[in-house]
Amino acid sequence: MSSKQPLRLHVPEPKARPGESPDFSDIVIPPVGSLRRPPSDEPDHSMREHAFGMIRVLDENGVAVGEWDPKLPPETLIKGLRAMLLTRIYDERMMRVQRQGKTSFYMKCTGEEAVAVAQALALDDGDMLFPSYRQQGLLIARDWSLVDMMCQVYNNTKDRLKGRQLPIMYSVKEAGFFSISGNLGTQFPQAVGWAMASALKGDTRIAASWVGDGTTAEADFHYALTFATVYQAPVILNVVNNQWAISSFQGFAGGEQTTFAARAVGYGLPGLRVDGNDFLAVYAATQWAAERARSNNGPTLIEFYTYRAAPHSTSDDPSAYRPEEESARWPLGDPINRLKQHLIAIGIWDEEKHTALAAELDEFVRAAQKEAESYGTLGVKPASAASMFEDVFKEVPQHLIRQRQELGV
Amino acid sequence: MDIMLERDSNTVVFGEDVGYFGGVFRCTAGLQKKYGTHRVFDSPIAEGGILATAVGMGVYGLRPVVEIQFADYIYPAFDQLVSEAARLRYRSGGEFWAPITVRSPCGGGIFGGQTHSQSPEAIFTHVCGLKTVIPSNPYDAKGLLIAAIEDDDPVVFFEPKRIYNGPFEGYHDRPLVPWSKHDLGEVPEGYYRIDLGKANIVRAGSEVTVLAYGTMVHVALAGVAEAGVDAEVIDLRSLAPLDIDCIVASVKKTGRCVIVHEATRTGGFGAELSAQVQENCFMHLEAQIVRVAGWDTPYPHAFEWEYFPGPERVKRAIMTVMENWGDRGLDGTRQRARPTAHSRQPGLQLKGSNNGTLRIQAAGRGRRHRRERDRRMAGQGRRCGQGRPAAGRHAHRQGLGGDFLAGVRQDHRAVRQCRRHGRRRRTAGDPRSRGRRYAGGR
Repeated sequence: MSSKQPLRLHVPEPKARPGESPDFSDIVIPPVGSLRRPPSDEPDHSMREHAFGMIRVLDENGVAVGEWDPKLPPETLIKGLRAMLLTRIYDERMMRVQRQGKTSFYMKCTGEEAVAVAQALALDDGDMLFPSYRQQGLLIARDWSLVDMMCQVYNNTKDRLKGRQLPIMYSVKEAGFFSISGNLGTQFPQAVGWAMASALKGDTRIAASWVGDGTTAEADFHYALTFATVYQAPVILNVVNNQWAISSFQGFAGGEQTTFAARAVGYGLPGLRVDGNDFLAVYAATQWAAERARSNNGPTLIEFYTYRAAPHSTSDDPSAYRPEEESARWPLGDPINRLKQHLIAIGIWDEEKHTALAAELDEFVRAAQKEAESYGTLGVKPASAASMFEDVFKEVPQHLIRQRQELGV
Repeated sequence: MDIMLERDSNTVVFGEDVGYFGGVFRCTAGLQKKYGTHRVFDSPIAEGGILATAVGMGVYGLRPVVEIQFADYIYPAFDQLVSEAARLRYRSGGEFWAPITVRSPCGGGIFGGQTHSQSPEAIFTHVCGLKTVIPSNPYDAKGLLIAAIEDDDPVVFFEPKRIYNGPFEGYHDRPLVPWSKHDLGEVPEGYYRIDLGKANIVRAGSEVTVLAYGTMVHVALAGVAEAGVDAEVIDLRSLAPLDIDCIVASVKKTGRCVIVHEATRTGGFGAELSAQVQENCFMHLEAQIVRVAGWDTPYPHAFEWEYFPGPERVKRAIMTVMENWGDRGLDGTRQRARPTAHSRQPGLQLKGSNNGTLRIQAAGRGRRHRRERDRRMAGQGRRCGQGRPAAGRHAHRQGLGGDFLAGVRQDHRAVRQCRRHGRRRRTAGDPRSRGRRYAGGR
């Protein structure tokens, strides 16, 4: 008889499924302020603890603790709170209009607002953003027109993308916001290419890009890290670990064995693991990576540890694969509540102001919706059908002119 | 590339081994030394990463010219080409675009085995938003490459590696005439461009239209010579955009069409050509359209010449369509008796004799009349593409990044060395490969 053991295949399984109690027992949350803030030119090999620990600033009482406190002025803090709240209200409103049949599709970023908003505020306006589909907060924090965003969602007559893209696949060159692709991860190495171009032209602008935990399994993620480290490109590569890739928990991207920030170690890059629901920590980590990139010290990989409280999209029902109360029990809390608590703790905010702000933003979103809907909702023709033959190439070629004629437009 | 690096400071050249070394086919030799490492540089071995970073650079405002070392390695870059580079202008409503040129050596006949011999051009012609170009000689290569680099849309530029150093006609057992001793090897110095989407009639003729591109242009000419038929040979030069007007005018004139390409037959670009020819010329066709193509198998190393579509196969295809001469008229009725069994034997009646010509002349007034009418209606001369300007100083070395031809200069049968699957390994059992090794390997 053979003495060899039969082999076993490990198929990852999340801790809890629907009907079970949420189980976060394997999540280790280090205390706030436990990691030092190294100088931004620190060699990556002497700061490996940052890839395995967690940069956290806000404690459970809303007090900012430790070296990573970015010590932001009140106006930046309030701006951040406002943009996060606006993002959430906008999301709720758009979710509702999808349910009303005014658009076909929507994706919320509920619970992840701090990532996009704090990062947009920590970067310069000229920096180029290569987002995935859950960073609408970047546009909102850059004060981009909500009406314009809604027109894209509605595919209406003012849709800047002429009805060609799925709702939320925004593209706003003017705001330095790159066209969102439905093919996951493609933007990650593109951002590196943009940053390489910026460096070889002697520019001062840097690039940033975002993927989810699931997308780290794509080849593009690894192309990005390879090219970024080879050319020391001025780029910030962000992994938003929101635990879920549609129905696949982050174990299917290799998250059971190590952290996503630790992917940086093998590439010789600094990797930061950050409490993604802590506005101050997100801001501080981004600021550090931007400083590093701007001073020709190369790229940084940042993992934002957060939770996708929303369904993947309007086509998804998370109750089919995870406990319903999981999001409410997420141990790192809600990013808006945590920043609000901090503002109250430092004495520049109170419940009354918060309620008033929420009402003001709700009214703002309603007004924007009204204006956007005046240009039509899904089903109106965003442009003439002839426009669908344009922009395939710079000039419309002969064969497309003939096909357009065949269509009779 | 040299000219474009000089003319446009936003042009950058990168890819595997293209920097210091100058590329495994030496196409970029000397460019890094001349323009520096910020303009011409080596990349990691990651085709998807090369294309992705090129997209990012294009979005920034650069004009990247990237090399995919062999067309066979282009597949990891497919998503970035198809879903990104090709779609970016459209999906962003015209806000973003990436003017990338992807150069890649393609084709076989060099004992490269299945991972160094493929011709995947048809896959790219299927992708809206991409342009696909394949030159057949140094003069065109330079003019088309400059046009491709200047183009604001992404262009896939395949370079048939078998003809880097001479116009290979498919006779692997005969010595090759190098470009330096060939008329088409004369490349003017300095800037000139050949617009994409203009075919070139390399041999005017009246009896059958032969459509080819890349290496197969030379094979087609050899096949036509063997068949002894007055064929019109069209070098497509660019598959997308396609010069369909030139093709249609020619087929309407000749009434016959043979399509030659090296790529596998099923779903190859010949299928598209065949479809478009019959859509546009159905009432003018005197015979079926015949494709001469690579067999639908991977490229077999030891059976290179059984696989490679040579002049003999082109000749047979021409014979096939010529045999059907007079079989059907415009009104669908049979106009003449079918050729005798004797005359149907390939090569017997038509080869190198006047028989074919005589038969054509006997075709009758109606047919000649029709041809004349078609020619008038087409309203064009014999050349669709621009003619070759007077050759300038003999300067073929000035062409593409300093040395378009030197790639396989050591020997026209070189490049047998497989990079990924046979590093430093000679082709077993092939005495001609002894002592030869192409400059590559990882």
